[in-house]
Order: sequence, then structure tokens, then C-alpha cells
Amino acid sequence: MSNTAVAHEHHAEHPGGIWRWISTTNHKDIGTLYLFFSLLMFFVGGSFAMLIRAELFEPGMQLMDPLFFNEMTTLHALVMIFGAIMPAFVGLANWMIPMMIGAPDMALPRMNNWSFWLLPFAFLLLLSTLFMPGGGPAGGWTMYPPLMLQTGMAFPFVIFAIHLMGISSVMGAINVIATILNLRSKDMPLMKMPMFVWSWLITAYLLIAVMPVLAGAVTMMLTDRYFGTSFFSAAGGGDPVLYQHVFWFFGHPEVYIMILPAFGIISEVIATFSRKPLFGYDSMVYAIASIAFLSFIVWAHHMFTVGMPLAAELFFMFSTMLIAVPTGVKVFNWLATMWRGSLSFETPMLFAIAFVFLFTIGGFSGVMLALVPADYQYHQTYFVVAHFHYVLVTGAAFAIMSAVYYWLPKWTGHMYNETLGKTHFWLSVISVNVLFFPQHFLGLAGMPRRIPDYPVQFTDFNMMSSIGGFVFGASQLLLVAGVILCIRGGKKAEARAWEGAHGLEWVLPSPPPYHSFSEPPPASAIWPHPYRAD
Amino acid sequence: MLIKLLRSALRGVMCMGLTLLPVLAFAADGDMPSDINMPQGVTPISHDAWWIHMFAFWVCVGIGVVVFGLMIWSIVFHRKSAGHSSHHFHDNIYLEVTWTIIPFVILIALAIPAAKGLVRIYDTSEPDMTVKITGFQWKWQYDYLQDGFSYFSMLAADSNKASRLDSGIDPASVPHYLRDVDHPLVVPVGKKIRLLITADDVIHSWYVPDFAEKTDAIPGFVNQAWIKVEKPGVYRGGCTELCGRWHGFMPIVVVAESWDDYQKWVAAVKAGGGAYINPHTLQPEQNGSPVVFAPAELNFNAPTTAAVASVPAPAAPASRPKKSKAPVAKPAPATPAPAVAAAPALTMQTAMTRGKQVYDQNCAACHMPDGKGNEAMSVPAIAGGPIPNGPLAAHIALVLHGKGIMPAWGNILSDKDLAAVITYERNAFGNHTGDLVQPAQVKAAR
Amino acid sequence: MSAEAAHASGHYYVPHGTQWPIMGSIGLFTTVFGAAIWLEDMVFGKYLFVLGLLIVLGMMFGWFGTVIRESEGGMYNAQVDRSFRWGMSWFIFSEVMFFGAFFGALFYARVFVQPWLGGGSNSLFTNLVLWKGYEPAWPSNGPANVGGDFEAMKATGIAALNTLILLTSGLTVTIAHWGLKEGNRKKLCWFLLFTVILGFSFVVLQAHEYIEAYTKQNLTLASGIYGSTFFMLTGFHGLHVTIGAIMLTIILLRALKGHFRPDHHFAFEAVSWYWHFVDVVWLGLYIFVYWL
Ligand code: HEA
Ligand code: HEA
Ligand code: CUA
Ligand SMILES: [Cu+2]
Repeated sequence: MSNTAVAHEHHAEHPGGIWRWISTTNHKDIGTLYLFFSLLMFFVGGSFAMLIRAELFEPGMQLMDPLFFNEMTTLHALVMIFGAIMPAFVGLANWMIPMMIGAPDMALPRMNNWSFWLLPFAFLLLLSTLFMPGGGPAGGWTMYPPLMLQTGMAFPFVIFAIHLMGISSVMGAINVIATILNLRSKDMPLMKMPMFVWSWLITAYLLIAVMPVLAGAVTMMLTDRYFGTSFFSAAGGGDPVLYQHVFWFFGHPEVYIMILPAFGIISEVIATFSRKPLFGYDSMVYAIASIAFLSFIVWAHHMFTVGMPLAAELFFMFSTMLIAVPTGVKVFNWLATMWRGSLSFETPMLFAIAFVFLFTIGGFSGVMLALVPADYQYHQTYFVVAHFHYVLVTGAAFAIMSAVYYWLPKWTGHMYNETLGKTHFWLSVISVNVLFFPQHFLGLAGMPRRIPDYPVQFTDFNMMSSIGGFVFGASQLLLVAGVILCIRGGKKAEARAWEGAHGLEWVLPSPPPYHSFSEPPPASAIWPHPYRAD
Repeated sequence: MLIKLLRSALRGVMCMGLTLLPVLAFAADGDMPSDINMPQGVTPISHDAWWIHMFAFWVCVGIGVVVFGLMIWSIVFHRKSAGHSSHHFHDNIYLEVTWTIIPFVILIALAIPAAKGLVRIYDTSEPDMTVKITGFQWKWQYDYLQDGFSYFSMLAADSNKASRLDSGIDPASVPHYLRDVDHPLVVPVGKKIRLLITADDVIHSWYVPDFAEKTDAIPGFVNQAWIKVEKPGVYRGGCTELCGRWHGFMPIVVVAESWDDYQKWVAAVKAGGGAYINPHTLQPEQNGSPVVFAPAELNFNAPTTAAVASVPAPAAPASRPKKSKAPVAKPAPATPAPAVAAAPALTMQTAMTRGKQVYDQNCAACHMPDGKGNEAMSVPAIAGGPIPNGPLAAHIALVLHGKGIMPAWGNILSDKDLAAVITYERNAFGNHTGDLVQPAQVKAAR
Repeated sequence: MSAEAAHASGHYYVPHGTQWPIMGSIGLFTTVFGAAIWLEDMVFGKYLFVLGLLIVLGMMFGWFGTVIRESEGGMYNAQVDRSFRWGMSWFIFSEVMFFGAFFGALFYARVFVQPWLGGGSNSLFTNLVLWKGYEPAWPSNGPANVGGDFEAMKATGIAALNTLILLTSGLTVTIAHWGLKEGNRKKLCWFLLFTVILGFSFVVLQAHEYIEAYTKQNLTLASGIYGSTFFMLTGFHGLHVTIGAIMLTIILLRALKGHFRPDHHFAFEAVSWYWHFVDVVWLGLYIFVYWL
């Protein structure tokens, strides 16, 4: 039918060179931009982490001034969270969501372009602070006042950089929602959407709800510093802890923003390589929704030691613990999906399995942290650092790597080099545990976070951790090699690159056409599931 | 180095086998607690924390064994390469309800002891004594409210020196590297001690692992906590809230003594005329800032004091948030050191020696040991700087009252130390004003 | 392919390359860079700031211009229209959350911080040790009387008048919408005009209120937590009213030029949603900032 064709005249005709990338409104181009940006930022943030680990290799100050160390810690986290993990997920959303729901592109393509093109400017602002008098931000990624107010000239730059990142994320999220709700093939009801699409739909709501709150928090800090307001000063009737409440009201949903899309990815990958339909689809959806809901009422578990009233401590302890239930449902469903399947272990599956193991370990330490009397010991020690790197690195980052290997054949039309991929996996998974597991012990033995130097009793585990870190960092060069090689050539990928794969993206050829579905796909491509009886 | 590495690797392997071993290692000294596990500690709260930690840990191990066990089973036996073909089931409501309910029940089992422990932590009523703790960038102030004296506690000089960039000193050769202070907090064992914790500038957090005591020090607010130390000993911890450049360098040392020894120490401090008394030797110590006395008008808790609310009006705090320009509720600032007899005059030589000590202890952190200042932090240089080479009165005023991130040292140091350090600054680092400042001048300028 | 499988909307609309976003990014970058160095006392930041705003404005003209041309040119179908609707509603939701942060700060300061400073809950010693004799109160500029004594805002007077104005303007914009849907362009234009006038009167009155506050009541942004929350909340709201009024003006001009059809006028609706949102926020402000 002619009227189902995409309404544009010049088909694959787009400007070449750099202007193509600057002016593009194509979801694949923008997805690619996001993914490369994220990779770049992963290396920038990773280099900061390498400096941190190098300074912590031995007791005594070897390499840098303590203030610079604090800058590294702060920027490492900001760059990793806002520059590496979040843009990677947005990039995957851009690439995959239109293909998975049978759409030609994102719903608001021009705004899509803007969402991306704010990011380089935001990070230019953020990273330029390193060269300013007074140095970069050094108050930790949580930026608590009054300490943060002591920042030098960098202060307003950091705040405005956060504003820009916030605008970018909110626009990106709006786009995702509009795309999913409005451009979905009419043969695909909500409860038959791929799990990755579901996870992103809910993540997008979280983003829209909390990014503006972060903007509000840093804006109050800005006016406290320059315009004499007293939000965070007791003398004027404010409270430094108010900032923490507002920040964590953003901050806790933020950590789920970094894990929910990962859950979606893992659900896709495990089902594919188990050659089975996902177990408990409905409960998976409800679990994501309950996690998202709960994430709004647990924020003060980051603040158990600030001296809140007892009732508040109890409330936040109980609500936090509850999150283990829906998360447990997800883990058990993945397990049941694998159970009596026909498993094969290509690189994406290896990363997915490692995800389930290691994320669960991170989740366990999360539940331990939720127990307040014990958190009095764990809080602000390396136990917390170990917890969140298990959920963030072996959780979010591993899921992203799994996704990259999983969809690379689709994107490039070539299979990646499996040997290289597996080498990358095994090096990573071993070294990352050498890197982060000992940090549990350091924390339990009382080593605080955010310190550039430490008592000698902590030396051994720090050395181990640093060595693990260097190996893990170096292994990531294999990821880059794998991606570049795959772009440049390799075995031709079929449309359905993986035997067990299902879903609309595998109906399109590899690589897919510039506009994914210029015609709505046939219902038969969506349903029934190739491995499902009904 | 290699051996060290091997050793740590080996220990790492052992730790991972921790799941099978009860954790015992624990040293009473507190400096070398178990390297891999939370200390059981020496307070009721620390026992709670340890118990809850171990309980939660074993619960997680249990769940882990089941979940990971099944996964490994599946990985091994349901492989395609082993010829397993897939079954296409995808729902089972009974199963799903079961694995929703079981974790819920487990969580309740965890929540109950945790809630009990939490209630205990919050019960600061009926203490035997109260100590007020104030965090500064980067030191602690301990204020014995009912005995009416206070002093500062900061990183010990040898650790400080060794921790400098390129100091050339092996940290391992420094006793208690980064875990030692000039003036430890001294407390009696077996008494319930209420801690009132606050901060002067930014947020700090007072943490001693063996007490499971970690409470944030928030400027403008006072948090309460309590400890009851069971065993005499030396317990070490540090600041655990990022508070700026030297956050990692503001340790905490607590000496817990028998009630008798503690009483002797208090008496000695009161008799000491401003010198800090070493709790072990009961000898006065000359290093660091002096003990400051304030009238002990308040009686926060004579050992029998019952309800908190019946507390008589407290004394003025020695430190207040800097911002309060405060017409409203500002109590008169504490007069430092009224009990210290007029300090004897200084000679140039005594002033310079003492001045250097005071400088290294207090000023070098920001103005740097070589007096070159720190551009990155906008800290001006002493060497050749306009203030140390300018009018004397302005110099004294600045040091006394502070400005921006420069603290008001008048509240912290004695007249004598101030006089010495100002003299030192005006005659060291290539400055040659020749001025010799006397304590009386400082006093007059207050 | 069967007709049922085809999209109800007929076809997808996919725009091609655009220069506006990059212009917007450069504009925003210049704006915030200028603002940052201005705040750090470098006066030329001012000029960068203004330049940046101009670039952003130019971008908005260009971008909206393109969209309007495409829309009036009939290139958009119902599906595109729906995308815009989703976009606008979630944008407004994000704005609600932004205001939520400041309302949250207000509640927190009033409900928790004041009693704590007065020794309530587990903060007895906060009062005994640090702020002896301080009695919780609202309005408050804190125990240190930051900014000096001031006279707080009243729920009567300008605030009440402004409430009336905004509520009325919500009504007039709705009547204008009816006019548009009935195809009664006169009604549309007149009532839009009323709305615009009411909107700008609100802004003028609020400016007057601010001037009074600064000159007569000694109530400033630096008047402790009361001044902070008052000016930040009403200030951001006022900014939104201003933007809304400008957008209404543009809609009015477009209506006068004959844009919009009874069944196709998303831009009008978007602006009126925005206007109602601003209205609702004001109600919250009136109740919690001026009245209670
Ligand atoms: C992706 C990010 C991510 C995720 C998913 C999580 C998940 C969780 N986190 Fe974590 N967290 C962070 C990122 C994340 N966290 C970060 C970045 C910080 C530090 C911030 C900073 O200070 O800088 C932090 C800090 C943090 C703290 C504060 C610690 C402190 O500072 O003192 C707490 C306390 O409660 C906590 C708890 C939890 C809990 C209960 C979960 C739960 O969601 C985990 C649930 C999962 C499981 C439990 C495993 C699977 C479940 C089963 C197999 C079922 C059966 C299990 C049981 C019955 C136990 N986290
Ligand atoms: C979002 C995710 C994220 C990710 C992916 C990471 C990844 C890593 N983090 Fe991250 N980290 C955080 C989020 C993250 N972190 C947060 C939120 C904090 C808290 C900050 C705060 O306290 O405010 C933190 C804090 C933090 C600390 C504590 C600092 C302190 O308290 O002072 C440490 C210390 O070891 C650390 C280490 C690492 C390491 C080694 C990696 C590695 O996984 C990185 C690996 C990647 C690379 C190394 C880059 C790629 C490779 C190259 C550049 C090639 C060259 C390298 C070599 C040849 C070696 N991180
Ligand atoms: Cu004081 Cu950290
Ligand atoms: Cu959290």
C-alpha cells in the first residue's frame, strides 16, 4: 500500500561528512552517536578510576594532591553515571526500540537530535573545570553542601553542566515514551512488547520524574552560593540535610534508571540463548513496575546516619528491604527461563549469566546495607563502594556489553569475532572480581571511602584491588577492538543472527535499512513467539 | 612486594572461602581488628551490628547457594552442546507466588532484629556523662561539658609528615599511620556516655568501628549518640564524611580507662593549666593546641541526671556556625582559656621554635610546609605574602578572627601559641620583618 | 498488505536533517558559560549570556517556524499530532516535578526544620547547645535572623488579586478554545487577547509586589528560609507565567493570521495546557506560601 510508505522523497540520500552526524534525525545515527559517546566517556571515567586505583595502590601519597584525588572521585562517578551508563542505555533505546515495535524512527526525531547534541556540550563544561583555578568539583558525586559550596570557580560550571544533562535526559525520555505509546505496531499490545521496551518505558517515567528534582537541588545550591538564600544553612532556618533529601529523592531512582534497562537486556539475551520464551512475562513487567514505584520511597537509606527521627529510619529501612522481593522475582524468572532450556554460551550469554550472578551479589550487599544497625558500620566505607560497583559495573556495564555483542551483528551486518569476545569476557569477569570483591573486606575492616591515603593495615587488599582494576581496564581495550573489527568486516550476519532470537528486530535484514520499518510489519512477524505454543 | 602480593592473593582466596569459616579474628587493641570482617566491637551497639551483619550474611549465603546452585546445575546440564533440547513452559503461577512469599518471610526475619537494634541506638536517655564533639576542617574538638574543658584533637605529627607527597618516609615505619592523634578522647569504661555531635564548617562524621558509632556532624544541628565501652583500650577510627582536602587525615583515637583512672586524668587536666595530659602517663604534653576551660555552669549529666528535659541551661558553645551574624539567639562567645595564667613573655628564639611547631601542626595543611600557599585552593602564600610582611595589627586580627576558609584561630589556639606562630610567619620563609609578638599583644587584640 | 495492517494514520512522517538542535546546544552552552563566568565576577560573561539567549531565541523561531510551516502545509497526520501531545504532557509533568523540589523544600523547612531548631523531636540539643532560646515560627528567617527583620507576605491584597487574575485567564483561554472549535474566530481572538492581557497584568503586579518587598518590607531573597522559598517559588512561577504569556501572544498572532483549524490546532492546545499548569501551580503557591 502506497500510503503506508514513509513520507519523504529522497531515500538514502543524506549529507555526508560531519554534518550528517550533526544534523541527523535518524534513530540509528543518533543511537550510534550515543553509543560512541558513551564509549568515549567510559574511557574518560575509567582513566580517572585508574588514577584513583594507582594512588590507592600503596599507603602514603604518591601521585597527587588529596584535593585532586577528590576531584578524580567526583568526576569519575559523574562521568560514568551521566556520561557512560545512561547514554549507553539511551543509545540502545534509540537503535532498538523503533525496530522492536515496528516503527520507522523515534516519535520526535528533531528533539532526539537535540537530546544527544546537548551532551557533548554538557561534558565540555564539566570536564573543563579540571583546568580552572581551584580545580574541578571535589565534593563527591553527591555534592553535599556546605562542602560543595567551597568549590572554586568550577562551581557554576558543574551546576550548569548538570542542568544540561538533565534537559537532555528528560527530552530523551519523553521521546522514548512517545515512541513506545504512539508508534507501536497496532498488532503489538502493551503486554506483548519485548521486555527491553517495557523496561525502558518505565525507566523513562523515572527519568522524567527525577531529573527535574536534581535540577532543583543544584539550583538551590547555586542561589545559596550567589544570591544569599538559606536553603542549606541552619542559621537562616534551612538545613544542609535538606539537600541530601532532595538529592537522594533523585539519586535512588537514578540508580534504578541505570539497572532497569539492564534487566530488559538480560531478559532478551537469556531467552534467546536458552531457546525458550521468557518465563513469567507478566510478573516480570509487574516486578519492574513495583521496583520503580518503591524506588520513590526509599531514598533516605543513603542517610541513615544523619540523625533522622527514629520513625523515619524504620520506614526507610522497611521500604528498602521490600525491593528485594520484586528483584528476586526477576532473578528467579531468569533462572526459570534457563531451566531445561537448550543453552549455548556465546559472548552475550556469558555476560548475561555473569550479570545474574554478580548483580545478585551486589543485591545481597544492598539488603545488608538496608539493615540500619549494620549500616552504621558499613556506611561511607568501602563496603558501600563494593556494593554499588557490583550492581553498576557487573550489573549495568556488563548488561551493556552483553547488549553490544548481542546486537552488533544486527547493527553492522557482520558477526563479531567470538574468540576475541570470549577473551574479553573471561579477562573482565575474573579481574572485576579481583577489583571489587576485596573492597567488601576493606569496608568491613573500617576503611572509609573517598580517602586518598589509608592506614597500613589496608594495604594488601588495596593492592589486589588496584591490580584487578588495571587488568580490568586494559581488558576493555579488547571490547573496542572487537567493535572496530566487527564494523570493518567479518562473517556476514543473517537477519536472525542468533538461532534462538525472536522479535521484530530480527525480521529486518542485518544491517537494517535506514528507516527501520517504512511499512508496519505483518502481525505474523510479531506473534506467535517462535518457541511458544500459544 | 611480590611476597606481599602473593600473601594478599592467598588471603583473598581464603576470604572467599570465608563463607565456610566462622570469623573469629579480632584484636582488642582496635588498631588491628580482623582484616576481613566487621569487628565485634566493645559496645552493646557494636555487638548488635555484628550479630545482624553475620545473620544477614548467612542468610545471603543460604539464598546464594540455592540460586547459584540451580543456575550452575542448569548451565551444566541444560546445555545445547550436551544435547539438551528446550522445553517451552513459560508460566507457573504457584512457583511465582512461592518465590514472592519466601523472600518476604526472610526479610521479616531480618527486619525484626534490625528494628530492635535501631531502637537501642536511638535510646540516648539517662547517660552518665556527656561529651560534645565538634568537627572542624580538619580536626575534632572534644568538649567535656560537665567538667568544663575542651581541647582539639588532630592528626599526629609523624603521620602528617609521612603522608605528604614525596615525603620519602615509609608509612609502615610510622606507628599507627593515619590512625593516631595528638590528643585522644578519654572516656571511662562501663559508663553510658552521650555524644553530642555537631560541626563548625562542613559535614563530618564521627566513626569508631569498635563502637559501631558513626554519626554525622552537621553544622547548625546537634545529633545525639551514645557509647558504653566494655573494655579498657585504645580504639581508633576516623572521619567518614567527605569534608574536603584532608578528609582522610582527621582520625579519631579514643582511650577508654577505668573510672578511677579517668577521674585521675580529669583532675590532672584541670590542674594542668592548659596543657593536655597524656592519659597513659598522666604527664602534660606540649604538642598541639591547649586545653581550653569554660565555666562548668552546666551540669548535663551528673551521673544521676535522669530526664534529658530537666537539664539546666547549657553553656555557650565554643564554636558556632560561621554564618550567624545573629542578633537573635546568639549566646556570648565562650571566652577561651580564662584559667590559663598570663603567659610569660617570649624570646625570639622560643617564639620561633614554638611558632614552627604550631605552624606545622595547624597552618601547614593549607599554607603548605614551605609557606608557599596553595593556588588551587586560593590559599595565599606566607612566603613573601602581603599580610605577613604588612602591618602587624592586621596580621594579628586576621589570624584571630579568620576570613573565608581561614579559621578564626582565636577560638582554637592560646595567646602564647598565636604570638609564637605570628612571629614565626613574619620571620620565616624568607620574611624578615624582625617583629617579635608577645602574648599580651594578642590578648589585647582579641 | 491488507488495509487493516496499515497504520490508521496512513503514513509515517519522518523529517530529515535539521540544523536547529545544534544551534540550540550552542546557544544554551553560550548562555550557561556566560552565566557561570558572570557569577564568578567576570563581567564579560554578561555579554556571552545575552548572546547565548539570542541564539536560543533564534533557534526557537527557526525551529517552531519550521514546525508551523510543516503543520500548516498539511504534512502532519494524526499520529504526529499524538506524538506532540505525549511530548507536551510529559514535559509539563517534568515541570511539575521541578516545582515539586521547591515545594518539598518549603514543607521540609516548615514542618521539620523549624521544630528541630526549637529543640523538637530528637533535636533537643540543637536548641540547647546551638540556638538557645530559639522558638520555632513561620514565617522565619532562622535563629540568626538572617537578613534582618522583615514583613511577611499577606494572603490578601496583590496575591488575592493575582489569584483572581490567573483563574479568570484560565477561563478566558478555555472560552477562546471553544471559539476555535466552533469555528468562531472572533471569539477565539478576543478571548485570547483577554488572556494575554490578564497574563501580563499578573506579571506587572508581581513585579510591583517584589519591589514593595525589597523596598518597604525588607523581604529579600536573603531573608532566611522564608525569603528563599518565597522568592524561589514565586520567582520560578513568575518566569513561567511570563513565558506562557509570550507563547499566548504568539498564538494570538498566529490566530490573527488565520492559523489553526477547528480539528487541528495542537499548538493552541499545548499553550493552553501550559497555561493551566501555571494556574494550578499558582493555586498551590497561594495556599502554601501566602495563606497558610
Ligand atoms: C544500579 C545501581 C544500584 C542498584 C540496583 C542498587 C540496589 C540496591 N541497593 Fe544500592 N546503591 C547504589 C546503586 C545501586 N543499588 C549506589 C550507587 C549507592 C551509593 C551511592 C553513594 O553513596 O555514592 C548505593 C547505596 C546503597 C545504600 C546506602 C549505603 C550507605 O551509604 O550506607 C543502601 C542502603 O540501604 C542500598 C541498598 C540497596 C538495595 C536494598 C538494593 C536492592 O535493589 C537490591 C535487590 C536485589 C537483591 C536482593 C538480589 C536478588 C534477590 C533475590 C535473589 C531474592 C532473595 C533475596 C533476599 C530475600 C535478600 N544501596
Ligand atoms: C556508573 C558506573 C561506574 C563505573 C562503570 C565505575 C567503574 C570503576 N570504578 Fe567507580 N565509582 C562510581 C561509579 C562507577 N564506577 C561511583 C558512583 C562512585 C562514587 C563516587 C563518590 O564517592 O562520589 C565510584 C567510586 C569509585 C571508587 C572509590 C573512590 C573513593 O571513594 O575515593 C573507586 C576505587 O577503587 C572506583 C573504581 C572504579 C574502577 C576501577 C572502575 C572500572 O570498572 C573502570 C574500568 C574502565 C576503564 C579502566 C576504562 C577503559 C580502559 C582504558 C582507559 C585503557 C587504559 C587502561 C589501562 C591500560 C589500565 N570507583
Ligand atoms: Cu571530616 Cu571528613
Ligand atoms: Cu539507594
